[in-house]
This record gives sequence, structure tokens and C-alpha cells, in this order.
Amino acid sequence: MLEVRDLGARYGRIRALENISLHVEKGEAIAVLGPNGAGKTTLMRALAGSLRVAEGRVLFEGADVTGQAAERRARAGVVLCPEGRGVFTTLSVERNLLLGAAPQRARLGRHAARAAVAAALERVYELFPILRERRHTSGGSLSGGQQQMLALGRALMAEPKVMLLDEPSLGLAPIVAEEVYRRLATLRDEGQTLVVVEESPSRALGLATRAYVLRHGRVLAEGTAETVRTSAELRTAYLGERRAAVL
Amino acid sequence: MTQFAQHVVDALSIGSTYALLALGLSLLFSVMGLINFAYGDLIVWCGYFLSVAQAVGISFWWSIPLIVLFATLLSVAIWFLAFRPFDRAPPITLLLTSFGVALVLEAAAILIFGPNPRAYTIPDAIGRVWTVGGVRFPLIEVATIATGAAVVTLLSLLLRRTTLGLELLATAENRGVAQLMGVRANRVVMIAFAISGAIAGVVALLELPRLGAVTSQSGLSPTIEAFVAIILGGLGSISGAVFGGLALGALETAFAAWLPSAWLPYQQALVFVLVTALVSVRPGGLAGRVAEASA
Repeated sequence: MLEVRDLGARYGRIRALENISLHVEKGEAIAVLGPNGAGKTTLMRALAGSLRVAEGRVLFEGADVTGQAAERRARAGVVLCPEGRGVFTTLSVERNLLLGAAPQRARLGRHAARAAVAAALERVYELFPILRERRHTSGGSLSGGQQQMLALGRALMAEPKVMLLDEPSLGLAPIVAEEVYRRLATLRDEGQTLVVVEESPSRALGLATRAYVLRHGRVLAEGTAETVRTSAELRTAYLGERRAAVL
Repeated sequence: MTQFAQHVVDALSIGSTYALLALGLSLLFSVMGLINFAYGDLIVWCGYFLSVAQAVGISFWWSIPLIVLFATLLSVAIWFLAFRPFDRAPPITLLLTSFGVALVLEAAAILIFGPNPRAYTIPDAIGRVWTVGGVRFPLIEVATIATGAAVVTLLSLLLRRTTLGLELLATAENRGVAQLMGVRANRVVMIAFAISGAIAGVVALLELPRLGAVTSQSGLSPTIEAFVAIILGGLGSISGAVFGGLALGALETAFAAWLPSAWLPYQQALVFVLVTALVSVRPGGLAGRVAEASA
């Protein structure tokens, strides 16, 4: 469904990504793991279209979308929950969610979308009852966990074909992170295609069927969640070769 | 008492003009970080447009919708030609670009219309004055206050109630994330320029009858007044623009009324001194937060 081939990206003269190839199929949840600075966020931005790639191609549903801007890709069905959540702090919770429906409005037309947007809003409120409770408060007054739920809900309002999540558990207390991952598992079970980037592997591997391990901007290992969990490469990625050999 | 009531009417009218100008500028600042020094030139060009329209036989009344349309289109054209290529540039680049736009608009005005003031005729009906209990209510002042209130109401309804307003606010707060959610940011910025241009057209309709003629330089003074209003009220919000505009109007009227005549030439300088003093105490302006820097 979403695929990158031989992707390369740079920030000025620094290479951030090199020769990355990965794919996610319809209804699949994949995890992208790796230590800080491995290129995970860069990869997500390349997938979402908010970063221009230097080499390689991005394919969505078979079509080349490499040069397509983020706003067009979002309307086509690739929606990123950015690192740090990107909640609009001055807007109410409900208006944050309604903004997320922009792709639906673009697809169906403003008037025809009305019923679909109302249905999506109801679905998000059922999945995250706390958002219904706080729908009139500003996004900025929510706790970190609630903001993460809002970011997820806002992305769902687009009825995305692929949802990209950049470190959804970043900065959350373990118990809150667990809750976020329970909702993600519900979405996965409903058939939502997910790409989850995390620095800490355990939760993401519990969610995903397949995983990729990144280090220094390259794919160090890939495979089913089980094989990656027990692989030597996973330890190498985080600890470096010598220390991993000692362990 | 009558005298005081008269000052209040005058202050509200001047203040409404400033508030409208401040709104138009504040909108562009919010959406793309642009401090637009070419804003007043839109009004000047509306004056030239009016004189040309009259030369080809279009009446003043028919010119009213045409002027608003002209200012809207001119503003969008300026966006397309001058600011869109510098999309996402740092604010200082946008500021310098706006100076460039102002120079181009002024030079073009001199090339086409010459350096002398260009006059137009205003129907006598516009100069009408009602007197109620000794207080004079000139039609143009009443119209200015009513228009100011109407524009502020419409703009806040637009921002709070509509999808377009939602996209404007979201783009203003975080353009990158808005785009990730599928918002066409370029279209939103273009619409902001259109609204800002339409507001300039409305201000032109209220100001041109008072001016009687325009020169290529007439745009500078309204731009500066609008900036003072924005700084006074606080950048980037409707309430800031309205507070700032009305406060500036009140200040100027008070000075004109009560300053000793020897001081009158320094009226504008005194306004600047007061505003500078206020901003050093409240950096966020009257409506802004006191400690903007800590946020």
C-alpha cells in the first residue's frame, strides 16, 4: 500500500537516510525502531511528504507520490501524527478534531462530507471518551496523554488509509503509554494500516506484525516482530557492536 | 458635556478606522509572519482607481463595490507576485519584500499618474451631518463606526464558526501541522490576503472622502498608524487590533482637544512616546499577555 524504494535524504551535507526500502501492506501494522538519531523521524517526514527526498521513490497504492506535498498526500489518505503531537493549543478539542476532517471535506465536498464528518467525530468520541468530556476546552490545557489521544483522534477524522505515528508514547508515563497502545491495538484489529516509530522497542513490537530496525540512517534489520525482538541486530542498534557482543 | 460627547464620537470614528487597518495587518502577520509595509498603498491605489473610474463615467455609488473588489484583487495579486515566492522565508525577508512592494506601488503611481495629488469628486450626500442635542454626527463618522463594528463581528464569526476560519486559525498557529492534516496552506494564505485586501478597500471608502485627493505618498501615514495600533493592542488577535485601534483613536482625540496649542505640532510624537512607555511595561500590548517571552 505504502512503499519506499532506495530512499535517501539529507539535511544540508549530512546524510540522514541512505538506501532505505520498506513497505506496509493494507491492514498491517509495522514498527520502525532505532536509537535517537537513527533517522526515524526523517523517514516519517519523507513518507508524509513534509520532507523533500534526495534519492529514491515513495509509492502509495502503486502511484509515485515522491514529489507530492504533505497536504495532497494527507488528502489521498496518508496522515502523520507528528512527533510532539502538534495539537493546536489555541483551538478547542472539538475544533482540533474537525480540522482533521479536512481530507474528508476535500474528497466529498463540504456539504456531502457533513454526515461523514459527524459519524467520524462520533467514532472518535467512542474510542476516546475523555475527548468528548473535554471537547470544549482548549487543546493546550490537556495533559500529555490526552493530547496524544487528541492527535490520534484528529488523524482518524481523515479516515486515513495509512496512519503514521511518530513516537506516540514519547514523554508519557508508562501507564498512559500503555493506554495509548491499547487504543492503537483496537485500531489495528479494526483493520487500520499503521506505521509506528518508537525509540523503545517493546510496546511497538507488541503492536506490530513486522518491524524494521534503523541505525545511522540505514536499515539494519527487518522481519517479523518476533524475529526482530530476539535478533542480535536490535541490540547492536541500540548498544553498538562491541557492547552487544559482550552481552 | 456636549463637548465631551463630541470627542467620544470623533474618537470612536478615528479609532474604528485604525482598528480596521490593524485587523487587516494583524491577519497577515498571524498567518504568515508578514509585517506588510505596503498595506497603506492599497488605500492609495483605491484613490487612483476612484479617480479613473470617475474619468470613465462610473458614479461614486457604483464605485463602492468596485473599490472593495479592486483592493481584494490587488492584494491577492501582490501575494501571488511578491510574497508567494518567499513562502516560509524568515520574517525579516518578508518585511524587506513588503518595503519593496511599497516602493514599486509608489513608483508605479508616479509613472502613471504623476507626482501631483490626484483629485476625485465625492457626492454632497456623503458630507451630510446630523445634529442631536448639540452633538454633531457626520454621516461618514457614523458609517465608519458602524462599518468597523460590522467587520469585526463578521470576522470573528468567520474565525469561530466556519471551516475556513478553522483552517485560518490552524495555519496561523502551526502551518506545518495544518498541512499534515490536509489543509491547503497556500490557499488559506491567499484567502487571508483577499480578506485583508477587502478590509483595505473598506477603509479606503471611509477615508477617501475625507482626503479629497491622493498622492503616491498617502499610504505611509495609515500604515504607521495601524502599526502603532497593533503594538498598542497586541499582535495577532482580533481583540488586540480593536483595543489598540480604539485606544489610539482616543489618545489622538484627547491630545487634539486638550493639549496646549503650542504642543499641538508634537501631537504624534507624544503618542509615540506614550506607546513606547506602555509597551516597555506591557510588552504584549493592552490585550496581550504580560510575559509573552516566557510562553
